[in-house]
Amino acid sequence: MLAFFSRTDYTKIMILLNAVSKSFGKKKVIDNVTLGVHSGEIACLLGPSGAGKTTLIRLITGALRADAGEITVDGIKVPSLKLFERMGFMPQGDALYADLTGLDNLLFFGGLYRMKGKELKARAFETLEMLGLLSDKDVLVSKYSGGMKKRLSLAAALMHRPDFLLLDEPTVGIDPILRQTIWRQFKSLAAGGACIIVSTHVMDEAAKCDRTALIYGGSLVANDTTENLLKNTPGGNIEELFFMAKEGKAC
Amino acid sequence: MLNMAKRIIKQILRDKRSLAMILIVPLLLLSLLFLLLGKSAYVPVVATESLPAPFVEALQNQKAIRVIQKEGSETAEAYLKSGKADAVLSIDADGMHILFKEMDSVKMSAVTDAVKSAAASINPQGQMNVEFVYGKQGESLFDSLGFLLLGILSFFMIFLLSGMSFVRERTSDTVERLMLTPVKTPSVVGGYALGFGVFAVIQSVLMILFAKFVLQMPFIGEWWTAMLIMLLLAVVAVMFGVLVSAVSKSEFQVMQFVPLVIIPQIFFSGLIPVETLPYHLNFISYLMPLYYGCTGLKNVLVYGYSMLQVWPQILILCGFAAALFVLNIFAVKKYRAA
Ligand SMILES: Nc1ncnc2c1ncn2[C@@H]1O[C@H](COP(=O)(O)OP(=O)(O)OP(=O)(O)O)[C@@H](O)[C@H]1O
Ligand SMILES: [Mg+2]
Repeated sequence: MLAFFSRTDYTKIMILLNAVSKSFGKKKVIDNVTLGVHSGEIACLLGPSGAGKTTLIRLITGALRADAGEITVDGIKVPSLKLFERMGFMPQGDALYADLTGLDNLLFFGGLYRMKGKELKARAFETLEMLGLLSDKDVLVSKYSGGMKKRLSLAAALMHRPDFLLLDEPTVGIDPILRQTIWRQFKSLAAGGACIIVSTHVMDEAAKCDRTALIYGGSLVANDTTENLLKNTPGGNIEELFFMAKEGKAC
Repeated sequence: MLNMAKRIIKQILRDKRSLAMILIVPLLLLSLLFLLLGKSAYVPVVATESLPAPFVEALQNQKAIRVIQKEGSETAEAYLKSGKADAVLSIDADGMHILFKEMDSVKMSAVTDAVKSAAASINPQGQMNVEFVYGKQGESLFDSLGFLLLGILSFFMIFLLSGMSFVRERTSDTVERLMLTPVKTPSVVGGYALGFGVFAVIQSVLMILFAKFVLQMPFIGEWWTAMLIMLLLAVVAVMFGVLVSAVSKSEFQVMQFVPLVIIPQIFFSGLIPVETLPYHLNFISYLMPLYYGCTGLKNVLVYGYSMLQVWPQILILCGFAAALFVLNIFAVKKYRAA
């Protein structure tokens, strides 16, 4: 096992999972996961389909309760209503109101954080601008393309400028140019001190993150800075680790 | 809560079909029933057999029936079966006999009324005068049941719409996102009630005005009291809708609840007079919010009760709304572990 906390320059561990497990019925979907992510750090949950990425993110959000182990965010035990104020969550599905316009969606989600009036409106425009949706703000979401919905969903998660962000496959179906812009956003949010967890099943997304946690069959098979992982992996290909993990499990 | 309500209002306004379902469809159904249950223009055919001539003559003066002479030697039963008349009238030593082809309340009351008044025109002492404290003889079935329809139609439409709306929130996963924000669960449920409540107010105003001025339903009570009752009933309907959709996984499952939740309420709403229900089944109606809504509406619109006289119904409806509100908070809370 490569699971350990690496030495970094980051000062504060923001999200901490300690021996977390979760089963659905008899099926153990998350098995004894321990993981820490710092403020200002972008961490990536890399794993194949069905590995448990979404489940792990939902555990951190507080939508699910862990069967064993403990999750804390900034020292506060999850699930907690207090943390919702500071959390930005982008689910894997779109989770938008298709019968409202993009702007109305953002006004609604922003309003849930007690933003009001001019402030709310200004924030919505700013966020739309950031994700290149300003010209489509008055179009019904049902008429949006897949990538536009993804961006709006991300916008909804960013409306209240959260301290920590949990993004479930945020860039699937987004073209390379836009993807680059979005990653630049993530970097600048992290530079501002936000802690970001992104799930993905592609290697090149992971390469953009500060930390990579490999998840396979509900277990963490590696967790280190992306740099270290790349250094220690045969051929510099993180995905090799999956095959190693698979073989390791077979024996 | 206002934010939630605002969003729901925007969604309904965008969806012309839902808007029509809340505001126009109840009026259309009301009109349709008005036409179907209104005064019948049907004139039953009565065949007479061996009646004294003056009586036949008196019968012929009655406009509500058409009198013919029974011909041939077939029995009255066979005569009716062949469809030549709706009733056969005869007299023998036991008295007068009216044989009807079938039990049909419209035809029956037309024929018996005509026979009674024909008899009275011969012998004025035999005049029977039937009068009612509330309503008049000759009012149509619609006039006497209209108040029920106001309650039933509004309840059904609002239930369906709010149920569908909340289930859509579930199927699009927005409910999980919603419940992972600082929003308070009572605000979610309250927002639903408020958002639909706005349309319920418009709906009840429209229905009452339409019934009173277009269909000329004979209302005597205060219309604002009737509206208050309709509004409370609508809030209960929203609460039912949210509750049912919180335990349904799809629109189809919401529909499956209709026979369970809505239809019995219609049976016990007073459509079949509750006092006359057999097997002491009337206690079931005391569990149904629609019964209190419809009773309240009847008390106001037919008996002319004032707000102070229908407080039991108003209070019980408030109680239902509050109880369902609390249940809904628990039902919606399950979407959030915190
Ligand atoms: N609500 C649930 N009930 C039962 N099993 C579930 C539930 N949610 C997830 N699972 C199971 O948990 C396992 C992990 O699912 P999860 O959605 O976390 O995977 P994932 O890594 O996000 O996959 P993908 O990349 O396809 O999104 C799967 O085997 C799935 O069948
Ligand atoms: Mg997933």
